[in-house]
Amino acid sequence: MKYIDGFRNPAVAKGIRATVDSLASGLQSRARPINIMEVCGSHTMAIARYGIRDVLPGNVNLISGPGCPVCVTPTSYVDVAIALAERGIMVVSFGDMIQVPGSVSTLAECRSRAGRIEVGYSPTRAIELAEANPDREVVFLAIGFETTTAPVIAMVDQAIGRGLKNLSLMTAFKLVPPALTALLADPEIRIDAFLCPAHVSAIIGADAYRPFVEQYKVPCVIAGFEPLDILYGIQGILEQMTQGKADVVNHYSRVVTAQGNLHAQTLMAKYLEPVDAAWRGIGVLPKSGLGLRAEFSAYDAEKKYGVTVALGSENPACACGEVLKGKRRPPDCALFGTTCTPEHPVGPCMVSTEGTCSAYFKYLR
Amino acid sequence: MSEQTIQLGHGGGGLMSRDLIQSEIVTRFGGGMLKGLPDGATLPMPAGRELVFTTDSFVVQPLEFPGGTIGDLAVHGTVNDLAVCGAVPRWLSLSLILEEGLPLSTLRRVLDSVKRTADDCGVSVVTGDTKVVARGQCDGVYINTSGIGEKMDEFDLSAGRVSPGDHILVSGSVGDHGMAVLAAREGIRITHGVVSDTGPVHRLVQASRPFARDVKFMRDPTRGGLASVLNEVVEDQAAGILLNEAAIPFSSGAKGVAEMLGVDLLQVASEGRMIMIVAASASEAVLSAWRSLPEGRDAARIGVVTDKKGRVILETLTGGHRLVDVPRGELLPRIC
Amino acid sequence: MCLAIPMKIIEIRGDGTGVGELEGNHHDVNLSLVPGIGVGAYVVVHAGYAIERMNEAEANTILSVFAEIEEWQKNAVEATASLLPSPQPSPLKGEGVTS
Repeated sequence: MKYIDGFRNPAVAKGIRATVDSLASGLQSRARPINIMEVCGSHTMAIARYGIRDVLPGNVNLISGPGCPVCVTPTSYVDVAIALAERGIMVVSFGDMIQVPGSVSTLAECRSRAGRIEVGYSPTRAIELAEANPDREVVFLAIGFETTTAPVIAMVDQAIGRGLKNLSLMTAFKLVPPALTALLADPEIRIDAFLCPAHVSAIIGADAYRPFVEQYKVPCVIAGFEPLDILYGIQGILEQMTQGKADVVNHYSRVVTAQGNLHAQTLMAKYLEPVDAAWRGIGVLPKSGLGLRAEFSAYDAEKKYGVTVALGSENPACACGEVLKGKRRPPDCALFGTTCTPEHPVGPCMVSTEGTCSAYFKYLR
Repeated sequence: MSEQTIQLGHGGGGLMSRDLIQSEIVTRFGGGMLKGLPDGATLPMPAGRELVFTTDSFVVQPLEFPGGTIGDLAVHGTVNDLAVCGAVPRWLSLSLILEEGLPLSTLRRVLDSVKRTADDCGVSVVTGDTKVVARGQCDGVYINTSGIGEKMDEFDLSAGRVSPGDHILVSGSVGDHGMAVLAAREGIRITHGVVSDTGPVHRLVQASRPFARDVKFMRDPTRGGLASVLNEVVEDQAAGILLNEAAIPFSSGAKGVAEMLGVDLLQVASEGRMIMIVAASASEAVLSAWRSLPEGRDAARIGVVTDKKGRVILETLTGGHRLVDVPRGELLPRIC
Repeated sequence: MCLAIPMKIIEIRGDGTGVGELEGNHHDVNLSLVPGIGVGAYVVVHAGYAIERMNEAEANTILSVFAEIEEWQKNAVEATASLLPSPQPSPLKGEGVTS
């Protein structure tokens, strides 16, 4: 596969691993291990898929960050989506959301009880269904970071252009930079560097991390999702740490530019504005989400149907926030393995099939 | 003239039913035991031998996909279940549930697949049934096939016989069928991309007969793929499995669709492949025998049985290790 | 949350969509986020939308860096195998052990 297989070459992986080992051994004298946060859910999945943790030296830890928008979607969002389906509205969702638990049920379970839930690989499915069913109301579950926000907004732009009135969005768009800032604002934080997301960065641009790096002086390396991208990104981080530097370095320059996709950014700004957002397991982070501007409220399902996704309704014993910051390990959480399991997850670290708590649980079994 | 379709009357047991059976079933399967359409088939019982009996239902959507139809699956699925139990497949039943409104031309193509595939596999359709349900009560066609085969005495197969050091073999690329069907459902058009691997494995089993004593276990990796089958093998056993990712055959077309939709090919169904767990001393000979058949040309050794109790572990391309999980539920495209 | 795959654009229609190709599989791709993209270009596709172009020159640059690493790695392995006993070769890129 062009531009894919070349980034999975086992011999190159060995070579990069040797360099990583050497750099890590040069950093052995530090008081504690090196904690690198890989922010994006896709990095978490790729790291798990290729067993990357297994091949890293003992003093380098990879910590999964809050970069899975599915996993950080609050329980009440799922509850409201189910309520809309029970009112006879056609709910269209990405596959990732179907098994995520709300406070009582999942979208999959609702579908089994005759709720009309449609899975779409692409947001265009929402337009197709709205046009094919002019007498039905259609709601698209619009979750995602900047990568997904851009296609969803392109879809809305198209829907408005076609005069579709029976389609709206339940928005839960989230932004990566405010999440990073919130993590580092905690003085007890133990994150030494960030492996930054590939495709969020393609939209927002490498320069978007500059203010953050200038303020907090942590190395940030933007890396793709192939295994060589990840290993080479870790090498880049260790090189910076060895040199005492703290810069934004773009290792995914084949896709990410300094300014990002300006066309996408303009389109997003036309329809969306920053809003406070609830992150499951973390709490409400100011201006960490995007919501539809008032003039587009006809396309905002919460306004259209008079429903509200409640903020801050999570289990207070959930320790995901601490786990995400590298301050606690899964077994240190009171809910781990008892109330909170992969079959009945509470917070994002267990909702994600490869989240820190999920992975811990699986390998302990 | 508008296209002929299946109507409720075709399932009513009256004239319309009889005409349909005559024109579509008897013409294709009417020689042999179906002659005269008895209510049941009388089968010769082989003296001193055991019979293997299996059943499977087929509800795939769409009915026709790159590489085959539901008719191919209905024969291959049951033939393969018999084969991996160490039996020579002989006789099939064919039960059809048809949806009112199904185009007759579609039914004909499906039945042509059944006939062609049954002939190719050397099995006979000896009994069957046809019902029609109202529009919306099934998805075009549902098929059930039950099959009987004659057990080959040489094979003694069970997960309990598997022991550390045994080799894991697969007869060809995995996950092609599941990806072909998912691609068709997601509107991915194939020119020379992924194609279903629906096909028979009984000739591969027969080619392994000389080594039967060393064969511990066989299965065809359908729903849930390799991940599901291998986890079943090690569940509650003292043994585990270590797979080598670089050795597992995948077709480039299936890989392309899997990457697009975020799907793990180890969890995806094949419908024309088998896995075998065999004593190390016999594995080269089995592979050689398989590779001499067209359906086994990409056969490979993909792993080894270990003593890591109850775990299926994959050594990845980058040299790391990860658990191969039991698949959770539906195979869904993901964006995360 | 950003599964996106490089695909080659093999057809462009007038309505903002086109066709992307990967290993013989063709999928509709919405091109509205990458105006001006041409046939033959590579894009990364997320949820059916091309979200950015892939810069082939940059891709080939990093691939050639990787090719050097592979070469060095191969030499290091051979050198280690041919010298018994031997000090470990320096793992820094570009250096190997001379026999």
